[in-house]
Amino acid sequence: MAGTKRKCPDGGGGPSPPPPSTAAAAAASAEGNDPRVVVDVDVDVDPRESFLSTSSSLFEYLERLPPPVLRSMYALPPPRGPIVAASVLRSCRLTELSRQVALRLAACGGSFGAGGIVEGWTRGGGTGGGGRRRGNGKGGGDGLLALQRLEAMGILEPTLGLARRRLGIEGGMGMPGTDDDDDDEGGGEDWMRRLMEKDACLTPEFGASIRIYLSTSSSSPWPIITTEQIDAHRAGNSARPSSYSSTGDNDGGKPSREPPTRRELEEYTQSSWDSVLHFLVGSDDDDRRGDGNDESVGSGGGNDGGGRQRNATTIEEPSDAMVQFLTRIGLMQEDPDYVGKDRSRAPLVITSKGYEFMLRDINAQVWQFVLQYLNSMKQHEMTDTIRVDALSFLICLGSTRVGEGYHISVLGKSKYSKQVMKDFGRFGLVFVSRVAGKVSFYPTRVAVNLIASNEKATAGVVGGGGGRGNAEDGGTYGQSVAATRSLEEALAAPVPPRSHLAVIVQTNFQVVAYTRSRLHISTLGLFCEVQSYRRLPNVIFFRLSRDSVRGAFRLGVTADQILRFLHVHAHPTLRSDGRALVPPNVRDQIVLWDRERRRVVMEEVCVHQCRDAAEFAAVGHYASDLDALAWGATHTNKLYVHYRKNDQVQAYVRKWRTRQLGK
Amino acid sequence: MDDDDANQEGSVDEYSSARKLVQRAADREALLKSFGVGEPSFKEDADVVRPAVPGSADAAGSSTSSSSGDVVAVVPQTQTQPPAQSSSSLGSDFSGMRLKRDHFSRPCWTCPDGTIYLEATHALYATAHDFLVAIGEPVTRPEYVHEYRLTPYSLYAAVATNIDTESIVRVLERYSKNALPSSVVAFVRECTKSLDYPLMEEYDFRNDKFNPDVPMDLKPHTRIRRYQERSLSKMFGNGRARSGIIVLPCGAGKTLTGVTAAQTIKKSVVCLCTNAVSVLQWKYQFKLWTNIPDDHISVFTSDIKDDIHPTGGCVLITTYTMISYGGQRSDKSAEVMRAIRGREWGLLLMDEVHVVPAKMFRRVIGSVKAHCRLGLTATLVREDDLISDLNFLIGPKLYEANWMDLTTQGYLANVQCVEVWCPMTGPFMREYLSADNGRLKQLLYVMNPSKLRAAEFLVRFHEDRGDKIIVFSDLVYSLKLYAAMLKRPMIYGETSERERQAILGTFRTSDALRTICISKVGDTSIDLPEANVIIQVSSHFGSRRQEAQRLGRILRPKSYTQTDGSNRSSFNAFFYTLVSTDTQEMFYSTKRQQYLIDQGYTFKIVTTLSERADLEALEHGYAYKNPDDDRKLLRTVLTSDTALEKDQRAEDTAIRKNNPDGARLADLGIKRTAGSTLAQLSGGTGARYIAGPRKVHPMFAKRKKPR
Repeated sequence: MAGTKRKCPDGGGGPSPPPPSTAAAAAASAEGNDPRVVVDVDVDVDPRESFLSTSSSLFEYLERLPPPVLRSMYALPPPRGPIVAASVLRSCRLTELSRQVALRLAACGGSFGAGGIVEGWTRGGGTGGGGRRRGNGKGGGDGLLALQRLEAMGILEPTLGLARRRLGIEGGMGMPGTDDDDDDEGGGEDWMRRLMEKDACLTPEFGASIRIYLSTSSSSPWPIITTEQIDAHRAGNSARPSSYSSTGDNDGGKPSREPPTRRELEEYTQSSWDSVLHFLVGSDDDDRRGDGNDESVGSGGGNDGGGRQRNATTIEEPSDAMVQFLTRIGLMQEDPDYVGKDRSRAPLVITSKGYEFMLRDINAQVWQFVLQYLNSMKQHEMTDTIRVDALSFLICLGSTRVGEGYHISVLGKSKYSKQVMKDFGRFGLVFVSRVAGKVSFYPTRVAVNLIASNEKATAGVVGGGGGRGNAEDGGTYGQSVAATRSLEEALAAPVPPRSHLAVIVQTNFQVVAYTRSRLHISTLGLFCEVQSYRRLPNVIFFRLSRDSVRGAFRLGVTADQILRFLHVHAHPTLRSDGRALVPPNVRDQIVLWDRERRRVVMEEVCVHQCRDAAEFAAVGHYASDLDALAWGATHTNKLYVHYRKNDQVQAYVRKWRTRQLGK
Repeated sequence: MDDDDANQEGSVDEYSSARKLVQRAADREALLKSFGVGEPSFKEDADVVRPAVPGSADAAGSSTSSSSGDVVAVVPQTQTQPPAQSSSSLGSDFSGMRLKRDHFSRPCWTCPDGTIYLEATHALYATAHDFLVAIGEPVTRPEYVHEYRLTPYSLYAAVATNIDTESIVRVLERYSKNALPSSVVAFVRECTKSLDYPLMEEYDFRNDKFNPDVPMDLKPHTRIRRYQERSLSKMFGNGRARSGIIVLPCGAGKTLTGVTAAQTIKKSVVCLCTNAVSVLQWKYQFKLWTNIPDDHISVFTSDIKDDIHPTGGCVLITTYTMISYGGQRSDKSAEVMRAIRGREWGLLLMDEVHVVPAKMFRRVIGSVKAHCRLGLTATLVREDDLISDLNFLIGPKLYEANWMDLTTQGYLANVQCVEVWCPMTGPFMREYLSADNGRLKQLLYVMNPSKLRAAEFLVRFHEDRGDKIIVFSDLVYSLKLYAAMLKRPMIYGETSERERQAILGTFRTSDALRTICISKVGDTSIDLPEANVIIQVSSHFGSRRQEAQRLGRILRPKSYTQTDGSNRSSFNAFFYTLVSTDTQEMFYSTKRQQYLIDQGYTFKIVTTLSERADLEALEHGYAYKNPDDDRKLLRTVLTSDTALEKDQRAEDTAIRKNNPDGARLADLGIKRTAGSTLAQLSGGTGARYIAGPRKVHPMFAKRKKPR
């Protein structure tokens, strides 16, 4: 670990210091000088906000927002409103049936009785996707669920009162009547009857937007910068040579650059993430410097710290705002072992949560950051406006294509929109530069995939499910292509870019990782044995053992994450052979190790000592009917009853005993 | 007797020089280690080490100073050891090594501590592999990246096969992705500079006019495979014969290699086997592959004592025990022994050479004066790490084949190894946890009813497929029970020779018998080419060698094995190990598999089979199908302590009778009780295993303990 606080003294070393962002401003205002204040702020946080901040995907986040906010998003002027509406409709938070219902309502207009929808539209198999089931109970359940989801997403007017119930019901929603509700005193039947008489209609905001969306033909939210535009601009400025300028600000005098290629965009994303990840695992200056002059010029390597080179391959320090983010999210903390007097000088070290973060794929990592970004807005006076701006912008990015660029003017007049766009640029979501004479932004792969990949993760289906063809194949295909290409680069180039990792897992549990990056090594060290590594210049050998994998499990890493990590980074040779990327025996073993942990299940039980075998039999029977029986020991006449159902069992025991006395 | 003593003295001389060599090899390894430690720590210790290191280097360099060298050498060892170990426990970072610019086109990495990694997917793999096998010891060879290690022994072997120092360094440099570390170069030079290897004697058999030739030639139909030819070419590099060991997997035709070697030398041969059965098999093979006349081949076992051809060269096949037996002999065998001692032999051929303890080997050498020694084995591993002694007793390892390569080429059956997890049933688990007796615990996990059901399920399944199955059980008591359950014949130590032959004959030739149950007598040397399924229900603790030997029973290529390189894709043999979960067996099982895993085999873990077997058991009426049967079984098991002991003891003696390998296993199986109370002495508290100090032959007493 580095002995000094890893903070970037951003003394103008970079080509241009990043503009102060709203995020940084918010963070700074929240924290002041003493970072510990952050903790206090986080403690008395609005429960709704903290609920929001645990969302694992964008649409989950949307769902947790109050419906009025959602409705204000649908109401945004085109293209945003319609695209948000369409994306929500496509998202996996809605069931197949709810999509049908929403589209039908949009097409027909007006309102329909809930009973009609639930019973009429879903029965008989011809109408809805999920409506082929017989019997009112199941089909009605599906229909109700569909309506409830629609209401929760602000698509239906909240006349039915279903969405409010959702907050009370966890898990098994859709079958009402199991818990208490205001207008539910009369029991489930009565409530249901009243519900069926109510009318359902689309919210005007959603209805209008979705109709606009359905009637537009363009797949892209904004007009794309066309090659003609670029050519025209180039022709106009042919006297001036075009040069590289990664940050185009809005003064007209700066020269434009060629539009970025897909590859440049990819590299941009990778490097902007790498700087964060490197910082996270604390690859110290020594490591960076080693890369800078590895086998190459070798200048400036001798003196420590000062020789940091800022060329294309060197990884830059993340900005202060980023660093503050890292601590706020809890990925980093001040070194608890720091013994110096001045706590503020304590170095930052990674937390276990941070390790878990490292193992996620890049999309999940970005979502975490976006989430925190949105969260940090809560101190801002315009919080809702910014949030709506940011979210709708994100969703629109989701329907763009990598390699297409847009002028910044498409974002409209709002200064927040531009600010949000620039902040996203710092996360690597968009690439901002001057193209064809105007400031433009290019969505990167991460931005385009963010929504779709989120969807996949929540849908639990890898490589299937969601409704977005373009982004979809970009997600699965792009990753491996990136890995393949990066390895080829690593092998071909004399100074391989360090962000590339190719892993071979062997049948003897040896992990061979082609990498030079300490980042990857620390990541692998999460679940490999660190005691027995052997590191060579461009490769490192690790061993997977039960202890090491269990250690990772203890940090909160799942077997699935480990395997996914190994899959994503598998060596291209393995891919070309079409063989298993992780040997089946290793895969099975990791899963078995994971299962091992769940063999012992802790449960709170009450021990009930029965008086005799008859009581044991009777009570045991009752308890098992109630699903309350955890274990019964015949020879001692002891019953172990689940804690939460103990009262019922005790009541029965009392009843049974009095009945016995009476006999 | 006098004769014997004189011989022994002669060999003792040889051993004292061997001891020096072992010591020297250890010194050199220590030297490499001290290089392997990073530069800084080396410098830190420099003040302490410096006076010693040059001393030991000198001692190792000059072949004369031995006693002083020994004394000095101790110093650096004790001081360089701790840093070496600490560095290995924290991993080793060689990232400072310089990578060559064209490293992509080279297949190996060479680490400063003598470890070499080889990319198996590289275009230059085949040639690099041949070279590395010649100069290094293969550590692990899975599918993609292999690991080799340079050791003094392996470098001796390289020099012995006529690879000179400079070409080792040059070729290594050529294959290596990184610039060769100076420590490795120094190590190679150090180990190969003085050719003081006593057993590297070569036998110029073509010009040996003194000893008569054996009239044998390979029959025209005999085909020698590429790897056999290669291994033999290492032995007969320059028209002369060298001593050494050839390591080939079971079923890869070790016998044919031995026969071809004998036929090439064409002088008298003593062929040593582990037991009488394999003696007969060797004789059969000699007659199958060559045209040797009947009167030139003789067998010498406790049952058969052929005369040795009085004048001409001959092939004598016998067992280790027959030759090394020290007690009173019958007239006939004394006469044969005299004949053996009285003549010069061209070749001493040793089958399953890994089983030979140094002591027995000394007796053998004392009796057989041979120009050249060839050891054959499949598994050059021993749990007691005495393997490296063989380097000096017999000669360097000349060749070691890669199991996976042979499998891919179709010379071996492609085996699917499966570890079947059988959960202990409740009552058995309870007894297991409360049992205070190791043997009872073992019996409980071997007799676990879900294991019985799984075994029956597998036997039924594979018999329906038309496979031939061997059920292995170490515990004779349980073997009997399994055989009774399956209603199949069994072979164990006490089975008479005739009955054994009858059972094996039926198994080989007829489809009526598809399953046999065998105790550990069948671990080696029972040749059953038809068998393609092994179900292992109990085994000898953590013995890696037993696992490999058992696997070897089904490795022989099947008639339907593809030889066009597509063998990899489909499995045609199955090796099941039934393991009771949550018992010691799990631990042993992991340990046992290590050798095969290093050879590139994978063990698939199956957890659901026993559930399926439980269902099938109910449906098809297995012998043990419901909890009642389980309870009955448990009762039998718990009351069978004495019967069990008796069986096992009988088995051990039966094995020890004519099988040195078995004797070792049997000896290990003995449980020594130590105690003073009457209860303990009478076995009231149960037998207890006490590991005494490891027996080290006095000859090697000074050797550093392996890590």
